[in-house]
Amino acid sequence: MARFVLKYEKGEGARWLSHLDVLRAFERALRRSDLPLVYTSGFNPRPKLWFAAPIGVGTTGEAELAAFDLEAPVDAEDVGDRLAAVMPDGLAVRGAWRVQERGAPFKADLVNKMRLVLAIPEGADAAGMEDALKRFLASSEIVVKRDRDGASKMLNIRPRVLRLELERCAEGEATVLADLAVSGDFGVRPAEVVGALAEFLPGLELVSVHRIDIMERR
Amino acid sequence: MRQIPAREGDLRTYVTRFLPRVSKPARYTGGEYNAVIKEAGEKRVRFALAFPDIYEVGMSNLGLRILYHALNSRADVAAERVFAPWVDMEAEMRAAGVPLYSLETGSPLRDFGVVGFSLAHELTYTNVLNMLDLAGIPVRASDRTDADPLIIAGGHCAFNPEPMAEFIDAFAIGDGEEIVLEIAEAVRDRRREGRDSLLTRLAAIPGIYVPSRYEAQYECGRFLGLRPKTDGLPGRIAKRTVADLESAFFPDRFVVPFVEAVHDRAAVEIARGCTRGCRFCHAGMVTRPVRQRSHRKLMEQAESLVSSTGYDEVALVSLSSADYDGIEDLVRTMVEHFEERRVGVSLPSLRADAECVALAGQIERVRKTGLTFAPEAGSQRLRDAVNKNVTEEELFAAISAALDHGWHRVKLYFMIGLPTETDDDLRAIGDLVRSVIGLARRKKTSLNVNVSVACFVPKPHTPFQWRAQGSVEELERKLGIVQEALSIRSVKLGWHNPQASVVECALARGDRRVGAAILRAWGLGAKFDGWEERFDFGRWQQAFADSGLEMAHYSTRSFGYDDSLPWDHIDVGLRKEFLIEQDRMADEARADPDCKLTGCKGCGLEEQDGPLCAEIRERRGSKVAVAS
Repeated sequence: MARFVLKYEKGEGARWLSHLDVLRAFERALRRSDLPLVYTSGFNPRPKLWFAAPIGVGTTGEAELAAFDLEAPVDAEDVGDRLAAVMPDGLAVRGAWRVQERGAPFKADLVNKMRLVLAIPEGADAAGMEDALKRFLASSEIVVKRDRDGASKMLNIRPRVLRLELERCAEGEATVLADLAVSGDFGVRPAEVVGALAEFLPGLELVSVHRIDIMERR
Repeated sequence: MRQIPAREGDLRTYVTRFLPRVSKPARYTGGEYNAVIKEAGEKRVRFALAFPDIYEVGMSNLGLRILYHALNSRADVAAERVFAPWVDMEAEMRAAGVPLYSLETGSPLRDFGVVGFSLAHELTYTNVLNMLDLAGIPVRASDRTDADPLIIAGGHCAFNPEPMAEFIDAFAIGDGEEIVLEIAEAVRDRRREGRDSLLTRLAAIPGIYVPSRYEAQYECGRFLGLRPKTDGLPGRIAKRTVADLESAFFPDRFVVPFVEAVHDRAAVEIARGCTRGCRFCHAGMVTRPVRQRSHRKLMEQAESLVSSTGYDEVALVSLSSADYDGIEDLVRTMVEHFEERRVGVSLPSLRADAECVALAGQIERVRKTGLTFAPEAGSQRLRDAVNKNVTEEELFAAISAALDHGWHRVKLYFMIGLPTETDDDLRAIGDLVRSVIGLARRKKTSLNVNVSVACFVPKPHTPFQWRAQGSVEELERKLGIVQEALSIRSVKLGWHNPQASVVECALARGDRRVGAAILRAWGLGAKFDGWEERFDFGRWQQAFADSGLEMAHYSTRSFGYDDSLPWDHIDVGLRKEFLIEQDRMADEARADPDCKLTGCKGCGLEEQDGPLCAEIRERRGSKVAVAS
């Protein structure tokens, strides 16, 4: 048995895929690759597959991570090549390496390094953006409402926003680098960050999200 | 790994702005594995295959998959797909001024040379009009100019093309894989030819019906007949039949959707046509004669599909899978061949037969789905009348076998409003279902029973094509009886809206005048009529009234054997005498089993001398057909 991690890009061609769509696409690509897959047991056997902090519809990512098990060891470069040959457009393979089989392949506590593209309101400028970011970071609490299973919950996302930095601001658009912490199934959503920023700079809107990297949280 | 070429005219760049606001945006962006993207070329015919429903439904259609790859296998044709945008996306597109575009290259539909619509269901007609409008193509055929694409239509509803005659330039009747290439050739050879001249050339292709070349005649409000406007046009158009399914084109790969389709699996067509002769069944009647593919061919095709797609299921598709010669062997070989890769094999249309269930039990070693049976009627008397040849004993034996093989979920299909039906027949549905539950209880196993009730719609080219459909009130009353009979705890009951079935009937048996009602209904906002949440009966009633028509003229009216039928000009090879004979037997509740058992009944298709028909005549002889 051998476990592999695959680094891939969720590009423009896959931007609008949900995580379930990506999962399904991966399962089929794995089958097409003819690699000796390990399947789950039970009535509905599927390839054993994990994803690190999956991103959703409307998001792209250049350092996405997936892991899967093979029945027998295969050279890691071979694994990467065989998958690259059968992956759909939009999910490009960037590398594959072998990891140890025991335990979960990805840690629960991760940090999403995101690039958020925002539309800034008319009349606003870089100084205004810097100010909004500063005020966000200076707040001890940023509370958002989340609906789950029909019930609403109030959550403080501030502790999980580790960094907000203005990268660029010109022609009505700003890009912000954001480090957002994820643990288990509680992650900070870019839309929530932007919603809160809009309190400080009304009219601010999220245009697109791109994940630059996924890191372990220290 | 190929990049999708960025084109100036790729309309997908204009929709990214609002994709975050719509449901399942990946329906509209393409880029799927195995999608065929060709560079625009001068001598290349651009053919758009349009399915008038959402992506997930259209991508499940096997016919569309076959035509797509058949066309793209030709270097001089580029085929692309287009589906109906859901209402939220349509609203965004109209607001932003983005016309309907194809998935492969984001090209506006109106830039194609041909757009071919698949007419699988009458309630998608308004979607056809809506898609044309959204594409900026004139909805009425008579309004189109040489700058507009040729609009053709095929599929099962094309066997009565008249209701859509105003909107379609040419219909392709029957098997599609050969005729679609001939259409592409005709368009390729067009050069500077005008629309009129092109239609004349198309009309010469066997199986093509150009409605504008025919004139409908009416008398005292009744349809009298269709007359060709010029000489040299056939009075009847014979459907196309692919004689040898074995050598007929079949794709070696399928486009693999990102979004979950309704039927998301590899599929091979093991046979086309059906000999069972159920009197209500349109598909069974119009796809005759039966043609089969060999085991070897099917194994090849299944293997090719699985390795090129990565699908984990292969479906063996035909109207009645258990009737395929050597089905047990085929299934066993397939299961063994795919077992290691954890690829399942499924038989979607199974007969209520214990042997078949045991067979299914074998194949579903790898994965288990629910089992579906279609008794259609609750009493043997009514089953005999409609010629659905399954007995209670057979059904119970099949369900018993199902329970023994580990199934705990069974779906049963019934119809209400069948010809000669009485209230006792309706109550018998309850008795039948209760017996099924009792069976499970005696075996001390749990069983979930899902019952689905549809309304009978008399369809063209079937023995019941002359029968009256029940009125809405009558159908609702009957539904009420069944609902009461089935208010049992372990039974989940679903049903189709009787009002929608009445509209379906008016569209299925309509003449050319019904086109006005379809146009008006669409104008009033009708679309996605097959979707419960979008269907509005009042809108359709108004549409018919505004057009000076009555729905009842096409639904609750029974037609006389001597009446001219709006679909008489379409020849599916069936003798009218055969249909009449079968219809009369229904009044006597007389069943007439499969011709494989009784010998040739002289339905008319034996004239084509297909291998199975010849075999039947040799082994079982020929019944004398009753001459009228």
